[in-house]
Amino acid sequence: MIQLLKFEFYRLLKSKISWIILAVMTVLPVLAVIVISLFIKLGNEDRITPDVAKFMTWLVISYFYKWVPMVTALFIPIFTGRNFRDGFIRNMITAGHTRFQIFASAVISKAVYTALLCTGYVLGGILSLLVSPVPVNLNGGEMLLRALTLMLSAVATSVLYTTLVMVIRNKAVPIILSVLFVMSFTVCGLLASSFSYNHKMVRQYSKIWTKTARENGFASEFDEDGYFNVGWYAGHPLFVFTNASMENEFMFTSSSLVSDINGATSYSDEISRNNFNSVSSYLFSKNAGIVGNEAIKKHVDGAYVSVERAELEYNMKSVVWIMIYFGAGYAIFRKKNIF
Amino acid sequence: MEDQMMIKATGLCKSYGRKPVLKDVNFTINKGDIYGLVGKNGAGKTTIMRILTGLQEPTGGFIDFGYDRRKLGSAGTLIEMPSIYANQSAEDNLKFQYLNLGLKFDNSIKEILELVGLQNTGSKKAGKFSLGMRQRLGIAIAMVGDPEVLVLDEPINGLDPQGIIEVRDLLLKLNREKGITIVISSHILSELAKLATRFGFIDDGHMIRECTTYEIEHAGEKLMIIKCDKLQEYNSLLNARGFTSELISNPDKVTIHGEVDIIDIAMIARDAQIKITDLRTVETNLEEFYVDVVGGSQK
Repeated sequence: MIQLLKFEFYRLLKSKISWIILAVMTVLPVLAVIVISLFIKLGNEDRITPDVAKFMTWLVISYFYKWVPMVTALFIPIFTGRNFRDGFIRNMITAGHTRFQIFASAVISKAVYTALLCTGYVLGGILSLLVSPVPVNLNGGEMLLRALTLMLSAVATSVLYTTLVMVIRNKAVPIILSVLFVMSFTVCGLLASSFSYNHKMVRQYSKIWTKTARENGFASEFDEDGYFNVGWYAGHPLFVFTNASMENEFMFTSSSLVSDINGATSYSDEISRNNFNSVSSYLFSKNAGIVGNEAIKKHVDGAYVSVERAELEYNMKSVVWIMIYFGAGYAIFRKKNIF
Repeated sequence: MEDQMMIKATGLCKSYGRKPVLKDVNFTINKGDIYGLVGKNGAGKTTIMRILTGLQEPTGGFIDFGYDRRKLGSAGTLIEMPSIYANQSAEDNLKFQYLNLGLKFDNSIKEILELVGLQNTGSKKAGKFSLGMRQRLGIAIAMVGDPEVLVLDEPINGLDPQGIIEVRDLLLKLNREKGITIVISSHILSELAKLATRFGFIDDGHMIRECTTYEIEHAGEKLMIIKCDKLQEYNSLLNARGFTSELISNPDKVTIHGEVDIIDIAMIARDAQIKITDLRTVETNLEEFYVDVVGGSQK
C-alpha cells in the first residue's frame, strides 16, 4: 500500500498539469481580493469594521468550494483514467498488489491532492488579503474550522470522481458524470437549502405565517400543499442526506458582499436554515416576508442552528458519503474484469 | 535431480458468461523452462497468461506456484501490449515500475535500458516510440526487480528482424544466466522454436499436448535431401540398395525418407563417382508439428 501511495504521489509530482492547477488555485483568490478591494474603493473605507473584515476574509477563503470540485471533476478522471488507457494498472495487478490496495491508493492520493488544492486556495487568499486594504480576521482561528468543513466536503466529491473512473474505466463517461455532478450540485444546493424545513417545521411556519397574515389584515392562509410550497418534499431529503445545502449556508455570494457593506449580512455564529421563508414565500407569495426572522426563530424549531452543530452535521455527512462512495466503488472494482 | 516446479495448473477452467474459454487445462512449468504456449487466435493462450499473472481469476481449477507469489515483482509480465505511460520517457516508465514494486531508484535502471537498447531515448515520450521500441520497453518493465518468472504474451510482436534477434538473445541470456523461467507465446512459430525448451499446445480451450523440443524434432519421419551431379543415376542406385528415395525436380534433388546412415549413402556415391554438392537432414519443425497436433485434435 505504501509503495502504491508513493507511486501515486510521484505521478502527481511528475504531472505538470497537477502543478499548474495547484498554482492557479493558489493565485485565484487574488482575483477575489482585487474585486473586494474595488468594492471598498467604490464604497466607504471607514466601514471596514472588524466584523466586516471577518466577513470579507471568509468570503475570500471559502470561495475554493466553488472552484475545487469543478476543477477536480475534470482533472481526476483524466489523470486517473490514464492508468487504464495506458494500461499501467495491469502492472500494479501483476506486481502482486491487491485490488483493495490499488483502489485505496488511487482514492487517498486524489483526496490528499484535493485537500492540497483547498489549502493552496485558503493560503493564497490569506496572503493576498495581507497585502490588501482589508485586514485579515480569522475569528480567532474558528474560520479555519469552517474552511475544513468545506474542504472535507470537497474531498468527498473527489472520492466520488476517483471511484467513478475506477469502476467505469472509459475515460469520457467519468468526466461527463463528474461534471454533471458538480453542475447539479449547485441546482440541488438551491433546492436543499431553500426547502430545508421538515414537515414539522413547515407546519410551525404555516401557523405563524397565517397568524401574522391575519394580524396584518390579510385574508389568505399559508397553503402548505400549494404549488410553490411543496418543494421541501424533495428538498428536505436532499438536505438531510447530502451536503448540497452547504454552499448556500456556509458561503456567501458577491451580492452578500454589497449587503454586508451595508450591514445587512454578517459572519454569524448561527446558521440560518430559514431560506424556506425567504425563497419559498418571498419569491412566490404576494404576501412575502410578513413573518420576521425573530418570530421564525421563536416559533420554528431548528430554523437557526449553531455553526458547531452545522459543521458536525456536514462533516458526518461527508464522512458517510466518502464511506459510501469508497465501499460501493470498491465492491464493483473488486469484481469487475476491467484490466 | 528432480525438476523444481514453478507453476502447476490443475483442471483450470475459465468462462466468460456462459462461454467456456478454458476447459480442464493442466500443465506444469519447471524452473529454468522456456515454456512456449502454442495455439491459434482464441485458443485460450492469453487467458492462461492473464490467469497466471493475476489479471483474471479462473472459474475452476487451481494453480500452485513454486515461488513466493506474494513477493512484489516475483513475476514480470508483458500481456497483449506494453503497459507503459505514453506521456513519460522510457526512464520515467521504469521509475514508475520501481515505485510500483517498492524499489529504490538505482543504476539498474540504466542497465535495464541498455539491455533492451533504449539507453539513448532520453526524454522522448514513450507515445512517440516505434512499436518495436514500445515492445522493448514493455520487456524492460517486466524485467524490473529480478523476477523469477517472466510471462510474455507475443513479446516479439511488431519487432523488426534485428529487434527479434535481440529480444530472443536477451531472453535466452536471462534464462541461461539468471535462471529465469519464461512462459511465452508467439504467432511466429519459427522464433518460438528457437527459444522454447518445452511447449504446450492449446486448441479450443484444451491443452492437447505438452512436449519438449527434442520430442518435436524427433516426432516425425526424418528426411534427407541430397544434391549431386547425376541425380537420376544416384536415385536408381539408392533404390537398388533398398533406400526409399525419390527424385524431385525444381529444384532438382534426391530425397531419402527415414533413418539413414550418411556413410552408407556417401559410399554409394563415391563408388559411382557421383559428386555430392549438398546433403542435409530435415527434422520435423514446430510448424509441422503444430499442424499435426492441432489438425489431429480437430479431426
